[in-house]
Amino acid sequence: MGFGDLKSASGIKVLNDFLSERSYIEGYVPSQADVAVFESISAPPTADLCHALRWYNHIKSYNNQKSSLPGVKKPLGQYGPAGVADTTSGGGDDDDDDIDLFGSDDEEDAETARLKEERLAEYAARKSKKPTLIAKSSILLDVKPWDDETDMSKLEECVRTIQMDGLVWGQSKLVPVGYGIKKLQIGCVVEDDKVGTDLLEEHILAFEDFVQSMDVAAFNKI
Amino acid sequence: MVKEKTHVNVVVIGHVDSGKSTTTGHLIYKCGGIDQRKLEKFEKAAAQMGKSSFKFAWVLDKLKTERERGITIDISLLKFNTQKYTMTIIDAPGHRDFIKNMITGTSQADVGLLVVSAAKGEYEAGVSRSGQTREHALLAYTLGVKQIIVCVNKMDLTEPPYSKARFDEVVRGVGSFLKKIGYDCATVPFVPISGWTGENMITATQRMPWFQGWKSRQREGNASGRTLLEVLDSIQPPVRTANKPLRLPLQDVYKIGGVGTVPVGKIESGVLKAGMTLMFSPAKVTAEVKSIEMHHQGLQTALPGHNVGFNIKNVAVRNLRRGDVAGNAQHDPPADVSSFEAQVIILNHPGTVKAGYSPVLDCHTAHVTCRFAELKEKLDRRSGKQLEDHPQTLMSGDAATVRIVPIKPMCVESFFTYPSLGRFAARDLKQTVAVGVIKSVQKDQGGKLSHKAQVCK
Repeated sequence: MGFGDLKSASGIKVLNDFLSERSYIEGYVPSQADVAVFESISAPPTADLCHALRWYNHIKSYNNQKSSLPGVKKPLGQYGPAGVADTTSGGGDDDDDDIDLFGSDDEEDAETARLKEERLAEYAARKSKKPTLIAKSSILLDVKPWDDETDMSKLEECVRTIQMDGLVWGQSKLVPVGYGIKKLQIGCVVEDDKVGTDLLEEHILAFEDFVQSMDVAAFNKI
Repeated sequence: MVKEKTHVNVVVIGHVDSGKSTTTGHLIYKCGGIDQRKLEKFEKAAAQMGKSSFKFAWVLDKLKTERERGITIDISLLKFNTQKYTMTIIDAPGHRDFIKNMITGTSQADVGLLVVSAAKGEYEAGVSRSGQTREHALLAYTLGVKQIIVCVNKMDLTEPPYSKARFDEVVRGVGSFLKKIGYDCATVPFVPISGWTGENMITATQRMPWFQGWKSRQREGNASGRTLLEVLDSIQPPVRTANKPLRLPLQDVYKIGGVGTVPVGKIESGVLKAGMTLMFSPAKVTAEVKSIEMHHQGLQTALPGHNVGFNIKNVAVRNLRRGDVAGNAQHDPPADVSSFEAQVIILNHPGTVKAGYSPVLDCHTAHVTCRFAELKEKLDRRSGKQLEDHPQTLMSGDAATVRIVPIKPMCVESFFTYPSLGRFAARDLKQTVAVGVIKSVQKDQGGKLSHKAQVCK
């Protein structure tokens, strides 16, 4: 529903047609619906649009008792004939599609912004009291040998000699691949800020007599 | 024999305090993802310590301690069953290397479960500029996770508890940024839950009588329900790509005495059969498959998702290497590319990216330095509309179409035809500086075989 752009001649034309068979925007007495539409019109309708002009002058006569008229104001789009959208500028204002994803949210009104600030501040205060948890991940690695004759226990021994701050080796098992080849599946727990998979890969591939390649089989938050 | 359930990978994403681990834990705990004997042991211990009422929390805490010590391997693979599916849950860590792993790793996520806290202040922090919610959701979208579920968590901690107004506020906010990223909100179910108390997780709660249930528009009619478990059961199963041409990126190549050359890798699409003639790219080698094995068992046919080894005739180990892609020589064989066009998003680059920038690209198992030869256009990430023609520089947060030239032979495909061979992570300075999906490829004209390039426009 709506009248199109009430600031333009076409919008007033729609309004005129609408009022040709009605006395008011809604119902049979002047209401806030009339006030809402009245306020969005910038100038009196021209004389050729007699229905709109008649209504305009009539509502204008209520000018000093506007606020006491019955009803609740609704957005302009809720009034008028079905099938016409409201495009009056300054009317419905929920068009926030164009803001940048990481941009500032400056389309919010002051009240929402204040509320958000308040909640964020409270959150920060609570958060600062909580002991900071060290973020850790559990990683499962597949370490692959060169062939079926690679000494897998020796390979595992080598991998376990790798020591780093923030790295703990976990359990391991040998998983059959095919044609007698087995791969070493070994778990480890790392502190997110200290140990990365690149670093692990670099160290593990350094045992080039035993290791052909390394893949990450699983990577989870702890 | 019971028919095996379809396997689905779910990645759980969300801000640090969204309660995603508790939610994940709750699901696994209630859906039989924890070893029964271990569970009984823990539950008994909890009862002895008089912690019966906090049993769930206590058990989760114990499991976490076990995981920290790396005691069991199987705990790092979180699995559980719904009525229709076997699910593997990946609880996304904040680790800087995780993104690369999500792109090139073995378990590509089929569904994203976005957990957002409704608790006072936590929602605001999660979706704020520095929060992880937006970045995670954006990455999921870019990497082709088309199905997303939103859990509005910690409903027990809203003011007042189980507030409809707060739920509506969160749905509005999250819905609006999901739309900006590119998701169609009519397909996204929103469920108010408490991962802590279990509200709406497995069974519908009485505490939120105002909740009319979630809805999701899907290709085959609409789905609706009340609980998170029902949402998970309603997702669309991942499309099996068995009828596409074969693509098998090699992880390793072995020389086995008495057998010969054995390449190993995971089938990304198509089927591998004994007797098939394969083409390897960029090695430009053809060979016949003599036999196939998986977990030391012989197979006649291997399907997508299978990690297999296979024996080939008349090819020396040194002619093949990790990063090569095997395909059927008779059916759209793989070819190396001279250049390709990709849509990239710059993530963590400290400075600016100009034409000529040469990071290392990780794509399937390949690891090749590539040059950003031409910055073609800067894009609006959501609409894909052009913002700037031939930009001089790109910065963190920018999306762009870039022509990329590998400095040595490499086989990649367009994301549209072979998704897992068409997405990559660009690495520089020991971090992931960009992620991308390949729009079209320029196949190398020097290839021996002429065939129609499957280029997606």
